[in-house]
Amino acid sequence: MILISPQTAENLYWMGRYIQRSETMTRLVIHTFDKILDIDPEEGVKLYDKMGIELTYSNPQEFLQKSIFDLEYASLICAIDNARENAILTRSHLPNRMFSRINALYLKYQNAKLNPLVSIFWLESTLQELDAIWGNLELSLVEAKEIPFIEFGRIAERMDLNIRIYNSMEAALYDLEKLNLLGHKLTPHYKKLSLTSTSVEKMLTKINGLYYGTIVTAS
Amino acid sequence: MVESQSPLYDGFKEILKNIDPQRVKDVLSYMRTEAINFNLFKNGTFIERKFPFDVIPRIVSADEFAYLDKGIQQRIYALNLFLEDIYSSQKILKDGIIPSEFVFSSKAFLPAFMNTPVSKNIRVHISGIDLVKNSVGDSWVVLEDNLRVPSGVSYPLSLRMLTRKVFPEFFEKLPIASVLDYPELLLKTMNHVNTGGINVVLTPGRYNSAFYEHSYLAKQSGAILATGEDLVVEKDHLYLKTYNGKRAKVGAVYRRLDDDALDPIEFHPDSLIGVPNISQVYRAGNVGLMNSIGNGIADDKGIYYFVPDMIRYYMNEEPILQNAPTYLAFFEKDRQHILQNMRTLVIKDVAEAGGYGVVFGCNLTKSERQNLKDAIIAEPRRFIAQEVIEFYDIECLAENGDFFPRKADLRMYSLFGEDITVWPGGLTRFTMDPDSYIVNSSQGGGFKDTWVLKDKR
Repeated sequence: MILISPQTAENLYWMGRYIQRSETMTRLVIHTFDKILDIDPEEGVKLYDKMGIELTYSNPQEFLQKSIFDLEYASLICAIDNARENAILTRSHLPNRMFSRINALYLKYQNAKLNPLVSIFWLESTLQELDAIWGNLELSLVEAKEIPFIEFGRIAERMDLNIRIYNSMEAALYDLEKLNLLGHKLTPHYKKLSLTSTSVEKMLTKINGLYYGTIVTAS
Repeated sequence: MVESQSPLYDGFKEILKNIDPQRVKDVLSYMRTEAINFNLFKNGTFIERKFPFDVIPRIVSADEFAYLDKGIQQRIYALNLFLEDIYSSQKILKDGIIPSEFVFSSKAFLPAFMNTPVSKNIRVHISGIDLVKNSVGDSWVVLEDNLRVPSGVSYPLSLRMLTRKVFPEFFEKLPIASVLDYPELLLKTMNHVNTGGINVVLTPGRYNSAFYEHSYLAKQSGAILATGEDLVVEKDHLYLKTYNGKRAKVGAVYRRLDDDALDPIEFHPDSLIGVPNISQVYRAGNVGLMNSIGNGIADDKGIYYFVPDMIRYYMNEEPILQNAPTYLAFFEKDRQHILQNMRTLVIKDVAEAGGYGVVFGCNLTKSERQNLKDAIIAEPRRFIAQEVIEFYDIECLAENGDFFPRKADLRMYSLFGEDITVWPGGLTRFTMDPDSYIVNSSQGGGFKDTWVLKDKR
């Protein structure tokens, strides 16, 4: 029997989602910053518009500042805060180094908030830290029973963003297979997810409801 | 008087003076990265804060530890017998050693748990005994027995893990007793009273000041960290709910919440952090609960006065450790002494904890003193008074490398399983304010590690 309570399972799932969100958003912000400089100053507006968020800025640096620190609920620092909060709650289930790295990233952003002049180099170092966090998870075998929950969140988040931002069904279908395998691992009665709809909205609803509709309602 | 200026600290200081101050900063930074926090609630706001600490340890010699070890074992043994007695035949009251009304008037005495047998007759599984070292006479004095949910052990333990990494030379050159087996001792203690099932650390949750500790102890001991909503009672048995609907039977609970909050059916109905009906499981003998329900009567600040008498009564021995000279306002003669000598005494409200309700008579204005006198006359059971003890300072290390002294106490932990084990370490708490005697963490005090030296003989 896997000794993980519903609350802890949910926190692990959301931690996976927020770490993945931090990673995807960091990559997107770096990429969009380049596009603002080279192609179209409105690229940042278009990016956030896909997520239903209104963003205005007067120069590329302000775009960075707002994406990283200022956007309520959608900033990078907000995703990192949430990842860390879930890590605090599930700390007794996490590899020590993984927790320390998440907390160190949180502290780095809290310090940067006080003097928020950040560069793309600085953001790239965030990616390295996120790589290390995932690496800690993959290298830890002792805490293996927790991994599927975190992975489930990670993949659900990646699918969500791939569909939402890139409208990439191919990437989503590639992840779908992994997600279904994890679902079976967590719950024998897991109902396999299929993505047949052509409506983006319907697909997103399915992906985001999957954890609560299958893993948890089975209890 | 500064204890750390004694020869006992010479070896430590000799090594310290050759250490690059940058390494001290490494310790600070690591503690931050690890989020070793002791959180506070101030004016209704949750403040996540690191527990201030200092790298200079308290050092306890092998002989001193041997003495404290014997004294604490004796004290815990007697307190456990007292609890067994008070919740059954109450011989100590019948024999007039402690006035019955003194026990019965305490809110911490829970008659609803009379004659409830506990696993292996152990009630005081984990205790924290607060001591100070009196600079007058150079002797240890017990200030308090904490037998409900004493916190703090994880902090010196975490600091020890870290100092071993950053300053290995201390551990190579000085004969420092290892403390790293605490989680193992905790596990053994849980296993000893386990009635069949998994071990659980029950936490009030994320917003409790010691949540770091709960999480740390669960992880290190292999127990499951659970909140009240993770547990459920079915047919007088306790279960952990799992995400997929299955239930895992719980055999032992190291609970980190007070009796009041433990069970909304039995105690405070507004408690959202407890487990409904867990008291029934306990009554039925189907779970080992650490510490037992109702222990508050034994660490009531008034009952503390009678601990030396308990040792004589139950064990027919003289107490090894001394109490601070204490007066009970409950007794007419003592009350008069308190009222007449208030300026020289420290007065404690027995209902308070964490350094709250402690008043130094010399710091009161005339009207405050009068108000307190009126309160003592109106509710004598509520107050005790103690002689002010000039306990030692221990030096702390300033950023510029200077030393500065602060008053410091010592909380020593013991675990009662097959035997009573006094942990060869402890939480040394120090005051932030140079003029203060209040070391409690909830009052902003800091902490140090405690190094017990091994006997070289």
